[in-house]
Amino acid sequence: MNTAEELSGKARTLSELKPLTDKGYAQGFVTDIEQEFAPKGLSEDTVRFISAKKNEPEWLLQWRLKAYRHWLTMTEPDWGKLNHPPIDYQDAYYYAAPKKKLKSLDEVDPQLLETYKKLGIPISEQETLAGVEPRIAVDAVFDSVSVATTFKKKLEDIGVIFCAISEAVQKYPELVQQYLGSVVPIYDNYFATLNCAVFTDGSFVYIPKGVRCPMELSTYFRINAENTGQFERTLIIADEGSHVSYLEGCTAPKRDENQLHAAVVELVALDNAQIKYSTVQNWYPGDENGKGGIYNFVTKRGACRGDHSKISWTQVETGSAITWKYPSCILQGDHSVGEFYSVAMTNHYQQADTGTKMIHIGKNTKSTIVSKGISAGKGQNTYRGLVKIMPKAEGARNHTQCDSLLIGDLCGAHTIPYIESRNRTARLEHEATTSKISEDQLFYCRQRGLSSEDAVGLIVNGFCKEVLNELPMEFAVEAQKLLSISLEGSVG
Amino acid sequence: MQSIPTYLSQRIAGGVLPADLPGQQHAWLVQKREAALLRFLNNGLPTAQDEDWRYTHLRAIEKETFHLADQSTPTQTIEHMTQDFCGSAVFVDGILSKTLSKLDNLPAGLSVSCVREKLKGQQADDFFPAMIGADSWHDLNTALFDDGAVIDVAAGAVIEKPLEVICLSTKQNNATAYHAKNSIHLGENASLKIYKSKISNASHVIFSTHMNHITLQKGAKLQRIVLSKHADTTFTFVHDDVLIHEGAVFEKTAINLGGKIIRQKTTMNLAGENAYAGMNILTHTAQDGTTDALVDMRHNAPHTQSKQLIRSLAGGKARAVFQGKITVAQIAQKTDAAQNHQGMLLSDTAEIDAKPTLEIYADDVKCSHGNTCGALDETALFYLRSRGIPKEEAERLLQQAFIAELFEPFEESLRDSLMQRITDIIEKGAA
Amino acid sequence: MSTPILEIKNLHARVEEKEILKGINLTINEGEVHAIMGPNGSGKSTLSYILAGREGYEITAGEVLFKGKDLLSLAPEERAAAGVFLGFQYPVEIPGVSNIIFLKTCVNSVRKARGQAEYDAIKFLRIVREKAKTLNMDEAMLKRSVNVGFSGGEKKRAEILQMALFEPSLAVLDETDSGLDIDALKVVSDGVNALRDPSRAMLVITHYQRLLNHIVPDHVHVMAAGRIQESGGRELAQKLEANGYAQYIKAA
Repeated sequence: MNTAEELSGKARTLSELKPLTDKGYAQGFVTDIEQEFAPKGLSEDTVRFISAKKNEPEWLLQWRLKAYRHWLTMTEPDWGKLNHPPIDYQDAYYYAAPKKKLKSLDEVDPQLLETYKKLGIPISEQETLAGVEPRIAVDAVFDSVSVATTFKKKLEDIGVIFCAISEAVQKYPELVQQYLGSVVPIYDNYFATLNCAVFTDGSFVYIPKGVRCPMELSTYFRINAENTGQFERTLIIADEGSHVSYLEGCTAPKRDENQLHAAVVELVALDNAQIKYSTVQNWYPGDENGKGGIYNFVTKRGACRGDHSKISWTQVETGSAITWKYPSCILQGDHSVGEFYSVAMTNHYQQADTGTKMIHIGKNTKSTIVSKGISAGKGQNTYRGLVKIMPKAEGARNHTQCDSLLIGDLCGAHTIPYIESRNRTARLEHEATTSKISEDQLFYCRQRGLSSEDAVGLIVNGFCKEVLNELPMEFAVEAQKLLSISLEGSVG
Repeated sequence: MQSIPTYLSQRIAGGVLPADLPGQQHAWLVQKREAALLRFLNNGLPTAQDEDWRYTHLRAIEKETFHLADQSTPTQTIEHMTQDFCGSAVFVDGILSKTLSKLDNLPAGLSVSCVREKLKGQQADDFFPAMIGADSWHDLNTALFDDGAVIDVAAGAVIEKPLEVICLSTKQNNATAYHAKNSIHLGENASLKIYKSKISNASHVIFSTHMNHITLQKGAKLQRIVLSKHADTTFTFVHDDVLIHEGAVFEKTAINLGGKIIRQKTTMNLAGENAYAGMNILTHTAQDGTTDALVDMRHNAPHTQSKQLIRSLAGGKARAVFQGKITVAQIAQKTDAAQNHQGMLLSDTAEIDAKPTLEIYADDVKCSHGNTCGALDETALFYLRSRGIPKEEAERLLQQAFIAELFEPFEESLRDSLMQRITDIIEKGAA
Repeated sequence: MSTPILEIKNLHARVEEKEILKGINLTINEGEVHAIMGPNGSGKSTLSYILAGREGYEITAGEVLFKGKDLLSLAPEERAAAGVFLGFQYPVEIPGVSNIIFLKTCVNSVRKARGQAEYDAIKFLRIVREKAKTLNMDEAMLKRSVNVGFSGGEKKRAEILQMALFEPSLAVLDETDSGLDIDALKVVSDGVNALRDPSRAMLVITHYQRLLNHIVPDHVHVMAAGRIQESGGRELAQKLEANGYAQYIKAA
């Protein structure tokens, strides 16, 4: 029989165990591996160093230099609801890579293999059971280089290109030259232009006409080196009638310093093509006093160039000290579809200013925005979005839902939508709500046997369900866990 | 010396303030006006870089040269919003007209005067406190203000019949400008209704600024209706800054019809518990103008409530803008704030822009905003037509239904007469 | 005789400065069904919340023993695991969380805490379906968010379903009849009666006698002004129906 005493004993055990689970950010370890760096700081020499390391063609070096020179004339944007000390762009390394070069998957440094194993990322093809079709191919980016890409060969057989972008520059220069900078122009914004000058690695994906990519493509970004920025560049092209689902994940060690991550992601979908792009962003968020953490300034944009094309962004943003990110869709093709599903969570001193832009240009274009912001601790969470209907976008449709959940009274939740319509046949709807986890809900769950933290986790997951449903299965489970972990210490 | 922009070159020739301004005998006021003018010349007009001005472009103003209106008698017939009012203040080209106003038999507790009158006194006080969200327009207004209404209701005075305020313009040969500073003060538990109409069919260009300082002491209640029908050549910049103390109730309905550049900003500070602000706005613009309505609702005390209902219609090459912001301070727990904006485009070349913002620092609050934009509901249109109503009539009905929600809380006679006038103005351009 | 399921001894409690319970004494043994009746504001709901461990109540004197052990020091979830179930007067809505997920998470948490094996998804679904059927519950309801958009009757049925799944030692039913029409009342009462068991105790809190026609109690207590004013058998309920609460309010 279960007596009350036994149970309170159990509760004691649980409370003793709690400090162990309170470690929270489990990915905060450092891999001790020999690395080489570019000289510290940012100059034309840094740009040339990176370009030389990657053995790039002259046109790309010139493109980088053009970006760098223009970047010098630009100023950091300050319109985000974000506060941070000025970033010293000279006090960082722009290139860090493990010293050992590798030629094939079998040669990957065992220490790196161990690192990815610890992170739960399969970067060995053997791990897939014999006879079972692999469901996911991984490109692993470690600081400034891609260290492994799995199932490349298998994908090549059906014409799918999935490799590091530095490799694509060598192997498929005409594709890269045609599309690089075609969605996010070289002078687009301060952080994107910086990325153009110093980007290191990231993934390149090309899905040929009519091909449905048979597995999920995934890139896992890891910052490991100290004092180093990561400038990832990803380019995905879905040719006519093709489909692809792409996932990205990211983590970094716990450090007291703030590290910069300034990525650019460009997507191009041609006629009838579909790209689904999912992110679970778990960069180190800094500690509970707001020390350390990644500054995440990211430009992500997709162009639905073809008729009936579709681009869908799903993001779960739990990490980073600062998130500045607006994955957008340019709906050029008639009947094209853009989607943005987002969960952004800020706890402790985290700040997020995130949202999307949906630019309707073609006829009967359709966009959906679902944003769920969760603020806890002293976190500040802002949704910032633009829906713009151009005069020719006959029959355009948009539906936007922005919900904020506040946990505690020291945090902030903000909603800043811009809605601009220039076509009378377009129909736009925007709704926003703000709520909190009520004492009643908590008590009800606890009366039914859940701990406060589990109850909050459950309610938060319910709040985010529409977005989590959009994630591929494995990621959804991961994301739910992350949300619960990120909320630790936010309830009493 | 600063260079004087063309549009001001006639009024402040040589950089000197005109001698015809009221209150020039008061050193403090001259000083204040001069300092404000200097600030204005330094800062210039707001530009699109300024977040609040991203949708309203002011270049058209810079092409004109504005004069003071020549004294003239209005030919316009005065149309009243209601026949049963307690008093009437009539402003002609921005100056209170003693002959047209009826302010002799005001009910006890209500006093209505004007800025010019107040400044005649030897002991004129600085009765224009700083306003929330002031920008360079406030400086221009302070430098050049001509007149304005000064309305005061004594504590406990409940004024049943509405006070009427009417603004008229006369026929002029030049582009003219005037600047008004109005102040409304309601003492504790006082109550007042102000029905203001600003009807202009002028063919000349009119430029005006209106800075309205409104204070509601504890438990006071103010209902303010402003019906504006602007000529297609009008530039108007209005700012109502409203301080609402504990338990006070502020209700404003603003109807903006026509105009070249109409900018109407309302900032509300809900400063005491159980304060309430209700804000209804109708914008209809169908030529080539911009009407930009801003609402800045600040919940600064617990248990405060606000409700906003905005309808924007844009036709021709016009642009209707709504920028609404609700801010809930950390202390303002149990805030209940709702905002609803609906836009309707009436032509293929019009534009509607909306920016409904929430900024929330308290967790136990109920805040929501909804925004829609589109044309008339096709299904409803079809339904009406299938019941035998001709297309144009059905469209008219639906357009009226779209607007009517704003006036639902009004008593029937007022609601009907307002709807009638608005419909007439929209459909026939008549006043 | 074995240890009583519930012993409330001289329980005093207040909310902020206001004393609500002024010395409650009540013992409930295994297999017994007790009813507490009383006018609004008598402290009935406060008592049920205190038994379930809701925060915001200060116990100023007295104690509550559950199976002989102190109940008041336990967290709400520990009480649930120990076997205390509270049927809410107003079951709470949790948007976005489906009933089935909610039930599985709760039941498995409780089972885990009790050292019982957790149910896997398939087994759990089978059990829930079975129980839902006996309560006349539409299966579609299981997929909807917890209590969101439920009618009064649906909410109460969902509560009884949860009670059936938890198999509590003590069920406290707070105003279970509120918001129910006569048919729903019958279904819910049948559900409760089916759970009557020699090892289970129930405390039925109600304002009206009509519920007690369906759930027939062994003992009836009249509560007013924070105290139990009179105790008796089921005939006491009938007496109240006839005479009302006036005499108790006056006496208090």
